Amino acid sequence: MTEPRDWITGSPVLLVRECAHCGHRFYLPRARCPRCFADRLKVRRAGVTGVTLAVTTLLDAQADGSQFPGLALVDLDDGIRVMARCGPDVQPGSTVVTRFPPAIDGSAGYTPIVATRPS
Amino acid sequence: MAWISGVGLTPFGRLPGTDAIGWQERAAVAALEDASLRPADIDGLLVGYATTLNHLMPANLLAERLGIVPDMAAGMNVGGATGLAMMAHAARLVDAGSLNRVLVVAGEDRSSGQSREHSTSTLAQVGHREYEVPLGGTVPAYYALIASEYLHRYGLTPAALAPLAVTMRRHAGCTEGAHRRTPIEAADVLSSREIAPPLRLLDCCPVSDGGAALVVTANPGRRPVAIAGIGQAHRHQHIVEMDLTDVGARRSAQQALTEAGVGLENIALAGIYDSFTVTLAILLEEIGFAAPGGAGAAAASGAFDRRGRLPLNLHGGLLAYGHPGVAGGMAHVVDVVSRLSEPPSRYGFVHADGGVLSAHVSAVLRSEAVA
Repeated sequence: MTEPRDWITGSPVLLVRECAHCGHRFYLPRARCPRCFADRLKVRRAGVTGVTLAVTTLLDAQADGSQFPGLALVDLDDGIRVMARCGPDVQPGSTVVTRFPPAIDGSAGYTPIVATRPS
Repeated sequence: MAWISGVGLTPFGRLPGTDAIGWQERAAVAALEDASLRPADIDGLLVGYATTLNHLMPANLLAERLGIVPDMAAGMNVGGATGLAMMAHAARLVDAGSLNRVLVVAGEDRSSGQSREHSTSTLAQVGHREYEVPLGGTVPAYYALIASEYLHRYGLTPAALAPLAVTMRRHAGCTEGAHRRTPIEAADVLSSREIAPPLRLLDCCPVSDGGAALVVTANPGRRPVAIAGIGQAHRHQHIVEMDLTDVGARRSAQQALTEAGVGLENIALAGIYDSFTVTLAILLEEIGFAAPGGAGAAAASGAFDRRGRLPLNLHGGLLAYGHPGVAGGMAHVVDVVSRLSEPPSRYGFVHADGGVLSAHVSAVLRSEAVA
């Protein structure tokens, strides 16, 4: 089966992989479940909402005037943890949504960013 | 039982003029002299990777240089835990009766042998090549994320971590050869240049040149310190896969303590990996040497001072003695072994991590007379 595309392969999405045997969900691609080694995986598009676990600022990006100089770890409501860029308003504990502007390195494709969810 | 019979440690700092294998040679010769051994006595050689050397066969390279013709030679790569992992591997080989005298070596011109940009970019590869590195993070940024989560979890500010840097610097002030010896106060840490918020310059170890070496033997030598227990844990590689409440330090430490038949209360001094202040805080807390969220406060109270509850990194640690890569984590072992060699007999504990708290190796060391 062909793996669906995600942000690194040209589609503006994050993918969640779920083991059909044990239900474990994970982000980084693998052929088998890292928990039970089963090879039946369901791959689907992750939901866009989550909570920020941690944030830092990439000072070089900030100096370059990037709109998204932050680097964040985000626990998506779909049960996976992802790394994303963010704006300066995102803090640990922020409820956020993911978006996909063009890649920050100028290459084709996208960069995942998180932004605080409008209340 | 395996013993550490010799140790060698060079000065650390920005010390141009010696390349990676040159630092390895200096440290190895010092350890051999300390153990009263010659190259022909060595039957096993383990050498840690050097980013400035990037050689396919670092142990064979050094063996040829030193005139060692070992029965076993191998390089090893588990990031900052490499030195302790090599020591652990040497101890198991000696315990098994396969080898009698294993030389463990690391050294690198990490500061003067490459540009800061190259060093930063090389080390950032501990991040995931496709899902993390393209987002622009560096090792300090990854540890800043860990610090951000840590401070948020416990409701702390960056001031909570500063006493750890102050303590390490104070220890280095008494140590010849340390990279950073000028005393600092918490206010200096908090006003130092931002590196990756919440981490500032003085929360981060310097990048150094230098080398360290150990001789692990089947029989006790002139400074008989036994490797009484070993533990390891390798629970993730990438930060998005890390369980921040169980990074592996506790599991690794408990294995080592169980094998040695002692508890944390029996440990008289320790050498704990301290690449960043938050690294040291998390390791101390997960192992059990400090309360959750309390490592910085414990440092501020003097708990890790020379005469404190747990004398810690008395050479100054990575934060102040310096960090030339694999040798940085081995300097903790050299320091603890050197102090255990002096009476009274005691237990020491060493722990290192590699990657982003990814690889963990612990060891309990014991002065001979304790047994």
